[in-house]
Amino acid sequence: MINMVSVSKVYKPGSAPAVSDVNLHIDQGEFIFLVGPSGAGKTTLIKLISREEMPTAGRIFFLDNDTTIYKEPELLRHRRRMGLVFQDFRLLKSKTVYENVALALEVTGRPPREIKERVPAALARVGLAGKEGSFPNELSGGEQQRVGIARAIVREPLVILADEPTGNVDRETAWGLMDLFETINQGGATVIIATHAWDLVDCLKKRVITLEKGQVIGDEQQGSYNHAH
Amino acid sequence: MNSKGVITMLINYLNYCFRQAVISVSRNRWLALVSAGMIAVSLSILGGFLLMAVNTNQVMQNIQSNLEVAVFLDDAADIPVLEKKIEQLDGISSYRFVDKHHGLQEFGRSLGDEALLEELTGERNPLPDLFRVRGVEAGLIPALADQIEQFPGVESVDYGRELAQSITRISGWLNSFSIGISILLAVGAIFLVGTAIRLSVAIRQEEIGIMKHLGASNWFIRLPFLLEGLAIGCTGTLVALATLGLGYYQFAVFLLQKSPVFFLQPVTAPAKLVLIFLSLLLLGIMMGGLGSIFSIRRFLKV
Ligand SMILES: Nc1ncnc2c1ncn2[C@@H]1O[C@H](COP(=O)(O)OP(=O)(O)OP(=O)(O)O)[C@@H](O)[C@H]1O
Ligand SMILES: [Mg+2]
Repeated sequence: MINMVSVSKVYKPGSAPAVSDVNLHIDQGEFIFLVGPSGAGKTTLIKLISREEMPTAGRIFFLDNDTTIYKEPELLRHRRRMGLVFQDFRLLKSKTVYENVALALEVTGRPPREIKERVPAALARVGLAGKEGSFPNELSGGEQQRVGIARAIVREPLVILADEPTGNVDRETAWGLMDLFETINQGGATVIIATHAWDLVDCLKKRVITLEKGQVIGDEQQGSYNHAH
Repeated sequence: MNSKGVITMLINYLNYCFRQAVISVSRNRWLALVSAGMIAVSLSILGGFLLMAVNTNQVMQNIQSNLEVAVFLDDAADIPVLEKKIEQLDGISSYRFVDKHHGLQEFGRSLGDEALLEELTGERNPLPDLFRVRGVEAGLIPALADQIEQFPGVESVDYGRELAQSITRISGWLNSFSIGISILLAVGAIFLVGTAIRLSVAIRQEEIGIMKHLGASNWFIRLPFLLEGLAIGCTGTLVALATLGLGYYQFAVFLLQKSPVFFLQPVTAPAKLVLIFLSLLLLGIMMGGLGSIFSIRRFLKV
């Protein structure tokens, strides 16, 4: 589903590439951990897939379409097929849980009737039924991230891209969130998670792609976190 | 997507934009109010000047159509020949011959006591015969007077030289002054709307970033801000129009009832007034729109 061919990203001309000559193939329905030391290029790789950043070299195909030649309309459609989850949740503090999740549907012009059905369903899937009227600062970190995940899945995306989704929560809560990602993955969505949580990675036995200095130095099915780093 | 789908999507979207604009305005209502107030003030002044301009125009037309050249004749003048020459001049709207006898009567009436001048009737009448000539507009009067003065049999000419010149001068001056002030105020108002929108953009920066991640189109993000500017413009304009309308109504009623002189009459022709008010409405909305477009282009990086 995602095909990266000799992809490089150089942010500032002359500086070292953040991602360097990466070739990757990711199938529909996979569960992938992106690991590697700080500055290895994990976030950059995720931004390249979501097309927040353009590669400076190479091609990235999504469902056989070359995303590097997307114009505005294709780019919007591309973004709408992805669900993004962030380390800092990125919820709107002035909006309720319900409104935060509904925003994902509002930006695509979905009718209110559909929004009223899908938002509570998504909140129920992440275990937040009944919290619709709460504001983000009335929730724990783990609950806030669940809202972020509900917003990511409410449009039934093909891919979930999560950049250190457990970075701001405690170990126990992180386990709960990983369970949730697994459930979502079992529902058919491809899940790609950049993380430093080595214990979770080692335990879950998923495909692990290891980056270092922008290059892929390891790619194993049922892999583990490389303790050398 | 079928056309029904597109339309419902559009309605959902407009509904969303409208709610966002309302939220935005209420969030920084003070700046929104100040900008609307500024638009109201600048439009009121501009409108006031426009109303004053149409009124002075009308007054000047009243005066101009009454400005005349008095042509004093010497005793040897050949009146029919002169009359023919005057009749053939360009720019004349009417003329009238007043012999010395009628002249004295007019003078007496203007003094309010015809008996005073009884001594001066007949052979002792010191007044010359004269023509009273009217031009089609004030600007032509000096040239007409100069021409007529050259005619044989003309002793001298007299006209409201000062009046004709100052009317032309003052009206020109007034027009440029009012246009200048209005432009300055309008630019200030546009700038203020821009600032209000800029603040809205700043307040919603995080929201904009999230909406972009969620795949919102540029117009989806921009339109609420444009609507906000238009709403500010509309509010200001409506206030200005209400103020002007009430004020002008009072002014017109006052003049109609108590005008000190015949040529001071207010303009009441609906066509003229409606035109002015419609242009002000359009202008106010445009000012709101311009202010927000300016800020959207400058500060909303989508
Ligand atoms: N917007 C940017 N402009 C310039 N350089 C950048 C930018 N974003 C990232 N970089 C650089 O690219 C390299 C890779 O950064 P990236 O954020 O992808 O690493 P990471 O693996 O996500 O690190 P971490 O684990 O700390 O989040 C780093 O050297 C970083 O300084
Ligand atoms: Mg990172």
